[in-house]
Amino acid sequence: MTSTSGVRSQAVANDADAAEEMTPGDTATSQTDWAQVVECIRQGDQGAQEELYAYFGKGVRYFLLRRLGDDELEDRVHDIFLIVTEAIRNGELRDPARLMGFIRTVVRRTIAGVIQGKVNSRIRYSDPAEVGFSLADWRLDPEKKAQQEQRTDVVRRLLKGVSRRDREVLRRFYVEEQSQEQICVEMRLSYNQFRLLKSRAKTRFSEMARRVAGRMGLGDGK
Amino acid sequence: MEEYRLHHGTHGTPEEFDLYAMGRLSAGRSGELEEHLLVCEGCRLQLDEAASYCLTMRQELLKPEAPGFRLDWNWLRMPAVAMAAMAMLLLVFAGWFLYRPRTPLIPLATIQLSALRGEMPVAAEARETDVTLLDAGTQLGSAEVVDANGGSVWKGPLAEGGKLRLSRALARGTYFVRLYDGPRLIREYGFQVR
Repeated sequence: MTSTSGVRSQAVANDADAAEEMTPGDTATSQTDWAQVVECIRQGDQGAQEELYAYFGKGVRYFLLRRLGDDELEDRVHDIFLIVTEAIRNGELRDPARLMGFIRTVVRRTIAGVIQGKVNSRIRYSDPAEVGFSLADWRLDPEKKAQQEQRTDVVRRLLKGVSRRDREVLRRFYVEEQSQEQICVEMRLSYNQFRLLKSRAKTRFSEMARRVAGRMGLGDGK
Repeated sequence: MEEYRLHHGTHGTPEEFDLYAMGRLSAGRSGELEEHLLVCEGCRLQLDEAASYCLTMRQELLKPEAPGFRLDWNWLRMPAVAMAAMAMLLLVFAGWFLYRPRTPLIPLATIQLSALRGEMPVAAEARETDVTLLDAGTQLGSAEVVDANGGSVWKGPLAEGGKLRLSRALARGTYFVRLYDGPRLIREYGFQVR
Protein backbone atom coordinates (compact mmCIF):
# COMPACT_ATOMS: atom_id res chain seq x y z
CA MET A 1 0.00 0.00 0.00
CA THR A 2 1.29 3.45 -0.85
CA SER A 3 1.64 5.66 2.20
CA THR A 4 -0.47 8.76 2.16
CA SER A 5 0.90 9.93 5.45
CA GLY A 6 2.15 13.24 4.10
CA VAL A 7 -1.31 14.31 3.04
CA ARG A 8 -2.85 12.85 6.15
CA SER A 9 -0.30 14.54 8.37
CA GLN A 10 -1.39 17.90 7.09
CA ALA A 11 -5.02 16.97 7.62
CA VAL A 12 -4.31 15.65 11.08
CA ALA A 13 -2.40 18.75 12.02
CA ASN A 14 -5.31 20.86 10.84
CA ASP A 15 -7.74 18.70 12.80
CA ALA A 16 -5.69 18.97 15.93
CA ASP A 17 -5.58 22.74 15.58
CA ALA A 18 -9.31 22.82 14.93
CA ALA A 19 -9.94 20.66 17.97
CA GLU A 20 -7.93 23.03 20.13
CA GLU A 21 -9.73 26.07 18.83
CA MET A 22 -13.21 24.70 19.30
CA THR A 23 -15.37 27.11 21.15
CA PRO A 24 -17.98 25.96 23.63
CA GLY A 25 -21.15 24.86 21.91
CA ASP A 26 -19.48 23.68 18.75
CA THR A 27 -19.48 20.09 17.66
CA ALA A 28 -16.36 19.70 15.62
CA THR A 29 -15.85 16.77 13.33
CA SER A 30 -12.49 15.53 12.16
CA GLN A 31 -11.86 15.87 8.46
CA THR A 32 -9.36 13.04 8.47
CA ASP A 33 -10.44 9.71 7.09
CA TRP A 34 -9.71 7.61 10.14
CA ALA A 35 -10.77 4.43 8.40
CA GLN A 36 -7.75 4.91 6.16
CA VAL A 37 -5.46 5.75 9.10
CA VAL A 38 -6.56 2.61 10.94
CA GLU A 39 -6.03 0.53 7.82
CA CYS A 40 -2.55 2.00 7.30
CA ILE A 41 -1.60 1.26 10.91
CA ARG A 42 -2.88 -2.28 10.48
CA GLN A 43 -0.54 -2.65 7.54
CA GLY A 44 2.41 -1.35 9.58
CA ASP A 45 2.61 2.17 8.19
CA GLN A 46 4.91 4.10 10.55
CA GLY A 47 3.59 7.47 9.31
CA ALA A 48 0.04 6.58 10.26
CA GLN A 49 1.18 5.62 13.76
CA GLU A 50 2.85 8.98 14.09
CA GLU A 51 -0.36 10.65 13.02
CA LEU A 52 -2.28 8.78 15.63
CA TYR A 53 0.28 9.89 18.23
CA ALA A 54 0.21 13.48 17.02
CA TYR A 55 -3.55 13.62 17.22
CA PHE A 56 -4.19 11.96 20.56
CA GLY A 57 -0.81 12.40 22.29
CA LYS A 58 -1.69 15.62 24.14
CA GLY A 59 -4.96 14.24 25.41
CA VAL A 60 -3.41 10.97 26.58
CA ARG A 61 -0.59 12.84 28.28
CA TYR A 62 -3.14 15.11 29.95
CA PHE A 63 -5.04 12.23 31.57
CA LEU A 64 -1.87 10.52 32.75
CA LEU A 65 -0.44 13.71 34.17
CA ARG A 66 -3.71 14.56 35.87
CA ARG A 67 -4.11 11.22 37.58
CA LEU A 68 -0.56 9.95 38.01
CA GLY A 69 1.70 12.98 37.91
CA ASP A 70 4.73 13.21 35.66
CA ASP A 71 6.50 10.06 36.86
CA GLU A 72 7.46 7.95 33.83
CA LEU A 73 5.02 10.01 31.82
CA GLU A 74 6.61 9.62 28.41
CA ASP A 75 7.09 5.87 28.90
CA ARG A 76 3.45 5.46 29.80
CA VAL A 77 2.28 7.50 26.81
CA HIS A 78 4.48 5.36 24.61
CA ASP A 79 3.10 2.16 26.16
CA ILE A 80 -0.45 3.26 25.54
CA PHE A 81 0.15 3.94 21.86
CA LEU A 82 1.96 0.66 21.60
CA ILE A 83 -1.10 -1.14 22.96
CA VAL A 84 -3.40 0.75 20.59
CA THR A 85 -1.34 0.10 17.47
CA GLU A 86 -0.87 -3.55 18.45
CA ALA A 87 -4.61 -3.92 18.85
CA ILE A 88 -5.16 -2.39 15.43
CA ARG A 89 -2.53 -4.66 13.83
CA ASN A 90 -3.99 -7.72 15.48
CA GLY A 91 -7.36 -6.85 14.06
CA GLU A 92 -8.93 -6.20 17.45
CA LEU A 93 -9.90 -2.73 16.33
CA ARG A 94 -11.17 -2.65 12.77
CA ASP A 95 -13.99 -0.18 13.26
CA PRO A 96 -12.51 3.36 13.35
CA ALA A 97 -15.63 4.57 15.16
CA ARG A 98 -14.35 2.71 18.20
CA LEU A 99 -10.92 4.36 18.07
CA MET A 100 -11.50 7.19 20.58
CA GLY A 101 -13.36 4.91 22.95
CA PHE A 102 -10.61 2.35 22.67
CA ILE A 103 -7.84 4.85 23.41
CA ARG A 104 -9.82 6.13 26.38
CA THR A 105 -10.24 2.59 27.70
CA VAL A 106 -6.52 1.89 27.38
CA VAL A 107 -5.71 5.12 29.20
CA ARG A 108 -8.14 4.26 32.00
CA ARG A 109 -6.75 0.75 32.34
CA THR A 110 -3.21 2.08 32.43
CA ILE A 111 -4.09 4.53 35.16
CA ALA A 112 -5.96 1.88 37.12
CA GLY A 113 -3.01 -0.52 36.72
CA VAL A 114 -0.51 2.02 38.01
CA ILE A 115 -2.71 2.90 40.97
CA GLN A 116 -3.23 -0.77 41.78
CA GLY A 117 0.53 -1.31 41.57
CA LYS A 118 1.15 1.53 44.01
CA VAL A 119 -1.48 0.22 46.39
CA ASN A 120 0.07 -3.26 46.27
CA SER A 121 3.54 -1.89 46.88
CA ARG A 122 2.22 0.03 49.86
CA ILE A 123 0.86 -3.16 51.29
CA ARG A 124 4.13 -5.00 50.65
CA TYR A 125 6.40 -2.28 52.00
CA SER A 126 5.48 -0.74 55.25
CA ASP A 127 8.47 1.60 55.28
CA PRO A 128 6.99 5.01 54.55
CA ALA A 129 10.26 6.23 53.11
CA GLU A 130 9.90 3.74 50.26
CA VAL A 131 6.36 4.63 49.36
CA GLY A 132 6.42 8.17 50.59
CA PHE A 133 4.81 9.93 47.68
CA SER A 134 1.21 10.48 46.89
CA LEU A 135 -0.35 9.50 43.59
CA ALA A 136 -1.67 13.00 43.38
CA ASP A 137 1.76 14.49 43.90
CA TRP A 138 2.13 17.05 41.15
CA ARG A 139 5.43 18.42 42.41
CA LEU A 140 4.33 22.01 42.31
CA ASP A 141 6.93 24.42 41.09
CA PRO A 142 7.29 27.69 43.02
CA GLU A 143 4.99 29.60 40.67
CA LYS A 144 2.26 26.95 40.83
CA LYS A 145 2.67 26.82 44.58
CA ALA A 146 2.25 30.58 44.81
CA GLN A 147 -0.83 30.36 42.59
CA GLN A 148 -2.30 27.65 44.77
CA GLU A 149 -1.71 29.71 47.91
CA GLN A 150 -3.27 32.66 46.20
CA ARG A 151 -6.32 30.58 45.26
CA THR A 152 -6.70 29.38 48.82
CA ASP A 153 -6.55 32.94 50.05
CA VAL A 154 -9.09 34.07 47.48
CA VAL A 155 -11.51 31.27 48.39
CA ARG A 156 -11.08 32.10 52.08
CA ARG A 157 -11.99 35.73 51.40
CA LEU A 158 -14.80 34.70 49.09
CA LEU A 159 -16.32 32.53 51.79
CA LYS A 160 -16.09 35.33 54.33
CA GLY A 161 -18.27 37.41 52.06
CA VAL A 162 -21.09 34.89 51.59
CA SER A 163 -24.04 34.44 53.89
CA ARG A 164 -24.30 31.46 56.22
CA ARG A 165 -27.03 30.01 54.07
CA ASP A 166 -24.99 30.26 50.88
CA ARG A 167 -22.00 28.78 52.66
CA GLU A 168 -24.17 25.90 53.80
CA VAL A 169 -25.30 25.28 50.22
CA LEU A 170 -21.70 25.28 48.99
CA ARG A 171 -20.61 23.04 51.84
CA ARG A 172 -23.31 20.52 51.04
CA PHE A 173 -22.26 20.45 47.41
CA TYR A 174 -18.46 20.51 47.66
CA VAL A 175 -17.91 18.74 50.97
CA GLU A 176 -20.94 16.57 51.70
CA GLU A 177 -21.24 15.81 47.99
CA GLN A 178 -25.00 15.92 48.21
CA SER A 179 -26.90 15.84 44.94
CA GLN A 180 -28.30 19.04 43.52
CA GLU A 181 -31.80 17.67 43.97
CA GLN A 182 -31.28 16.95 47.66
CA ILE A 183 -29.74 20.36 48.30
CA CYS A 184 -32.57 22.13 46.48
CA VAL A 185 -35.23 20.26 48.45
CA GLU A 186 -33.60 20.61 51.86
CA MET A 187 -32.51 24.23 51.42
CA ARG A 188 -35.76 25.18 49.65
CA LEU A 189 -34.06 26.38 46.51
CA SER A 190 -35.11 26.14 42.91
CA TYR A 191 -32.61 24.54 40.58
CA ASN A 192 -31.94 27.95 39.03
CA GLN A 193 -31.26 29.54 42.40
CA PHE A 194 -28.84 26.75 43.21
CA ARG A 195 -27.11 27.02 39.87
CA LEU A 196 -26.89 30.82 40.16
CA LEU A 197 -25.50 30.66 43.66
CA LYS A 198 -22.76 28.30 42.52
CA SER A 199 -21.92 30.19 39.37
CA ARG A 200 -21.92 33.54 41.19
CA ALA A 201 -19.40 32.19 43.68
CA LYS A 202 -17.27 30.86 40.85
CA THR A 203 -17.44 34.09 38.89
CA ARG A 204 -16.54 36.06 41.99
CA PHE A 205 -13.66 33.69 42.60
CA SER A 206 -12.38 34.17 39.04
CA GLU A 207 -12.62 37.96 39.32
CA MET A 208 -10.86 38.08 42.67
CA ALA A 209 -8.20 35.61 41.55
CA ARG A 210 -7.55 37.63 38.40
CA ARG A 211 -7.19 40.83 40.40
CA VAL A 212 -4.84 39.24 42.92
CA ALA A 213 -2.83 37.56 40.17
CA GLY A 214 -2.55 40.89 38.40
CA ARG A 215 -1.23 42.53 41.54
CA MET A 216 1.23 39.70 42.20
CA GLY A 217 2.27 39.37 38.57
CA LEU A 218 1.24 35.71 38.47
CA GLY A 219 -0.15 35.62 34.96
CA ASP A 220 -3.88 35.23 34.38
CA GLY A 221 -4.65 33.77 37.72
CA LYS A 222 -5.54 30.36 36.38
CA MET B 1 -13.22 1.03 2.33
CA GLU B 2 -15.78 3.48 3.65
CA GLU B 3 -14.48 6.82 4.91
CA TYR B 4 -14.84 7.64 8.58
CA ARG B 5 -14.59 11.04 10.29
CA LEU B 6 -14.12 11.24 14.03
CA HIS B 7 -16.82 12.92 16.03
CA HIS B 8 -15.35 14.99 18.81
CA GLY B 9 -18.53 15.12 20.79
CA THR B 10 -19.75 18.19 22.61
CA HIS B 11 -17.87 20.49 24.94
CA GLY B 12 -18.50 20.07 28.64
CA THR B 13 -20.52 22.61 30.58
CA PRO B 14 -19.13 24.28 33.74
CA GLU B 15 -21.58 22.15 35.71
CA GLU B 16 -20.29 18.97 34.11
CA PHE B 17 -16.65 19.95 34.71
CA ASP B 18 -17.43 20.45 38.41
CA LEU B 19 -19.14 17.11 38.67
CA TYR B 20 -16.47 15.32 36.66
CA ALA B 21 -13.70 16.88 38.76
CA MET B 22 -15.43 15.54 41.86
CA GLY B 23 -16.01 12.14 40.26
CA ARG B 24 -19.77 12.60 40.35
CA LEU B 25 -20.66 12.86 36.68
CA SER B 26 -22.70 9.93 35.38
CA ALA B 27 -20.66 7.12 33.89
CA GLY B 28 -22.20 7.58 30.46
CA ARG B 29 -21.51 11.29 30.23
CA SER B 30 -18.07 10.83 31.80
CA GLY B 31 -17.14 8.49 28.98
CA GLU B 32 -18.29 10.95 26.33
CA LEU B 33 -16.53 13.83 28.05
CA GLU B 34 -13.28 11.89 28.40
CA GLU B 35 -13.29 11.07 24.69
CA HIS B 36 -13.87 14.74 23.98
CA LEU B 37 -11.09 15.74 26.36
CA LEU B 38 -8.71 13.57 24.38
CA VAL B 39 -8.95 16.06 21.54
CA CYS B 40 -10.10 19.39 23.05
CA GLU B 41 -7.48 21.59 24.66
CA GLY B 42 -10.01 24.24 25.67
CA CYS B 43 -12.05 21.77 27.70
CA ARG B 44 -8.90 20.36 29.29
CA LEU B 45 -8.04 23.85 30.54
CA GLN B 46 -11.57 24.36 31.83
CA LEU B 47 -11.47 21.03 33.62
CA ASP B 48 -8.16 21.92 35.28
CA GLU B 49 -9.69 25.18 36.42
CA ALA B 50 -12.82 23.48 37.75
CA ALA B 51 -10.82 20.76 39.52
CA SER B 52 -8.59 23.28 41.22
CA TYR B 53 -11.58 25.39 42.26
CA CYS B 54 -13.53 22.43 43.63
CA LEU B 55 -10.55 21.15 45.59
CA THR B 56 -9.71 24.54 47.10
CA MET B 57 -13.35 25.21 47.89
CA ARG B 58 -13.68 21.80 49.56
CA GLN B 59 -10.55 22.33 51.64
CA GLU B 60 -11.68 25.73 52.83
CA LEU B 61 -15.24 24.64 53.53
CA LEU B 62 -13.94 21.78 55.62
CA LYS B 63 -12.33 24.26 57.98
CA PRO B 64 -14.62 25.48 60.76
CA GLU B 65 -16.12 28.87 60.14
CA ALA B 66 -14.22 31.61 61.95
CA PRO B 67 -16.20 32.67 65.02
CA GLY B 68 -17.26 36.23 65.44
CA PHE B 69 -19.84 38.68 64.34
CA ARG B 70 -20.74 38.66 60.69
CA LEU B 71 -23.32 40.65 58.86
CA ASP B 72 -25.79 38.47 57.05
CA TRP B 73 -27.92 40.41 54.64
CA ASN B 74 -29.38 37.36 52.97
CA TRP B 75 -32.56 37.49 55.02
CA LEU B 76 -33.41 40.71 53.19
CA ARG B 77 -34.03 38.60 50.09
CA MET B 78 -37.11 37.06 51.73
CA PRO B 79 -40.14 38.88 50.25
CA ALA B 80 -41.99 39.37 53.57
CA VAL B 81 -38.91 40.74 55.28
CA ALA B 82 -38.12 42.96 52.32
CA MET B 83 -41.66 44.38 52.34
CA ALA B 84 -41.58 44.97 56.09
CA ALA B 85 -38.22 46.70 55.76
CA MET B 86 -39.60 48.86 52.97
CA ALA B 87 -42.67 49.81 55.06
CA MET B 88 -40.39 50.67 57.98
CA LEU B 89 -38.27 52.85 55.75
CA LEU B 90 -41.37 54.64 54.45
CA LEU B 91 -42.55 55.27 58.02
CA VAL B 92 -39.22 56.68 59.03
CA PHE B 93 -39.18 58.89 55.96
CA ALA B 94 -42.74 60.11 56.59
CA GLY B 95 -41.88 60.87 60.23
CA TRP B 96 -38.84 62.79 59.21
CA PHE B 97 -40.82 64.67 56.57
CA LEU B 98 -43.55 65.70 59.01
CA TYR B 99 -41.30 66.63 61.88
CA ARG B 100 -38.25 67.74 60.03
CA PRO B 101 -36.67 70.92 61.41
CA ARG B 102 -37.82 73.97 59.53
CA THR B 103 -35.73 77.02 58.81
CA PRO B 104 -33.78 77.64 61.98
CA LEU B 105 -35.41 80.31 64.17
CA ILE B 106 -33.57 83.48 65.01
CA PRO B 107 -32.61 83.61 68.68
CA LEU B 108 -34.49 86.76 69.64
CA ALA B 109 -37.18 89.01 68.15
CA THR B 110 -38.22 92.34 69.58
CA ILE B 111 -41.48 94.11 69.15
CA GLN B 112 -42.87 97.34 70.56
CA LEU B 113 -46.58 97.63 71.09
CA SER B 114 -48.87 100.58 71.71
CA ALA B 115 -52.53 100.62 72.53
CA LEU B 116 -53.27 102.86 69.55
CA ARG B 117 -55.59 101.46 66.94
CA GLY B 118 -54.04 100.71 63.60
CA GLU B 119 -52.24 97.96 61.81
CA MET B 120 -51.04 95.12 64.00
CA PRO B 121 -47.30 95.10 64.45
CA VAL B 122 -45.51 92.01 63.14
CA ALA B 123 -42.77 90.06 64.89
CA ALA B 124 -40.50 87.52 63.26
CA GLU B 125 -40.59 83.88 64.40
CA ALA B 126 -37.91 83.49 67.04
CA ARG B 127 -36.89 81.28 69.91
CA GLU B 128 -37.55 84.19 72.30
CA THR B 129 -39.47 87.42 71.89
CA ASP B 130 -38.93 90.66 73.79
CA VAL B 131 -42.12 92.71 74.01
CA THR B 132 -42.15 96.33 75.06
CA LEU B 133 -45.46 97.97 75.88
CA LEU B 134 -44.72 101.57 74.95
CA ASP B 135 -47.57 103.19 76.78
CA ALA B 136 -47.52 101.04 79.87
CA GLY B 137 -45.75 103.86 81.64
CA THR B 138 -44.37 103.00 85.00
CA GLN B 139 -47.11 100.62 85.84
CA LEU B 140 -45.80 97.30 87.08
CA GLY B 141 -48.91 95.24 86.86
CA SER B 142 -49.21 91.77 85.54
CA ALA B 143 -49.56 90.75 81.92
CA GLU B 144 -50.86 87.81 79.99
CA VAL B 145 -50.23 86.82 76.39
CA VAL B 146 -52.99 84.90 74.71
CA ASP B 147 -53.33 83.47 71.23
CA ALA B 148 -56.13 84.17 68.79
CA ASN B 149 -58.34 81.60 70.54
CA GLY B 150 -57.78 83.14 73.95
CA GLY B 151 -55.45 80.35 75.06
CA SER B 152 -52.88 81.56 77.54
CA VAL B 153 -49.38 81.59 76.15
CA TRP B 154 -47.58 83.43 78.88
CA LYS B 155 -48.49 85.02 82.20
CA GLY B 156 -46.33 87.02 84.58
CA PRO B 157 -45.37 90.34 86.08
CA LEU B 158 -44.45 93.16 83.79
CA ALA B 159 -40.87 94.33 84.11
CA GLU B 160 -39.75 97.88 84.41
CA GLY B 161 -40.24 99.94 81.23
CA GLY B 162 -43.21 97.83 80.27
CA LYS B 163 -41.05 94.91 79.15
CA LEU B 164 -41.72 91.21 79.12
CA ARG B 165 -39.81 88.32 77.59
CA LEU B 166 -41.55 85.35 76.01
CA SER B 167 -38.96 82.66 76.44
CA ARG B 168 -40.61 80.14 74.12
CA ALA B 169 -41.03 80.24 70.38
CA LEU B 170 -44.41 81.47 69.18
CA ALA B 171 -46.04 79.77 66.24
CA ARG B 172 -47.23 81.92 63.41
CA GLY B 173 -50.51 83.65 64.22
CA THR B 174 -52.13 86.51 66.09
CA TYR B 175 -51.50 87.19 69.74
CA PHE B 176 -52.79 89.62 72.32
CA VAL B 177 -51.05 91.05 75.38
CA ARG B 178 -53.38 91.87 78.20
CA LEU B 179 -52.23 94.23 80.90
CA TYR B 180 -53.84 93.92 84.32
CA ASP B 181 -53.90 96.09 87.34
CA GLY B 182 -54.73 93.50 89.90
CA PRO B 183 -57.67 91.59 88.51
CA ARG B 184 -58.74 94.50 86.30
CA LEU B 185 -57.87 94.50 82.61
CA ILE B 186 -56.63 97.93 81.78
CA ARG B 187 -55.16 97.55 78.26
CA GLU B 188 -54.92 95.07 75.42
CA TYR B 189 -52.30 95.06 72.66
CA GLY B 190 -52.28 92.93 69.54
CA PHE B 191 -49.44 91.63 67.35
CA GLN B 192 -48.77 89.00 64.77
CA VAL B 193 -46.00 86.50 64.33
CA ARG B 194 -45.06 85.67 60.74
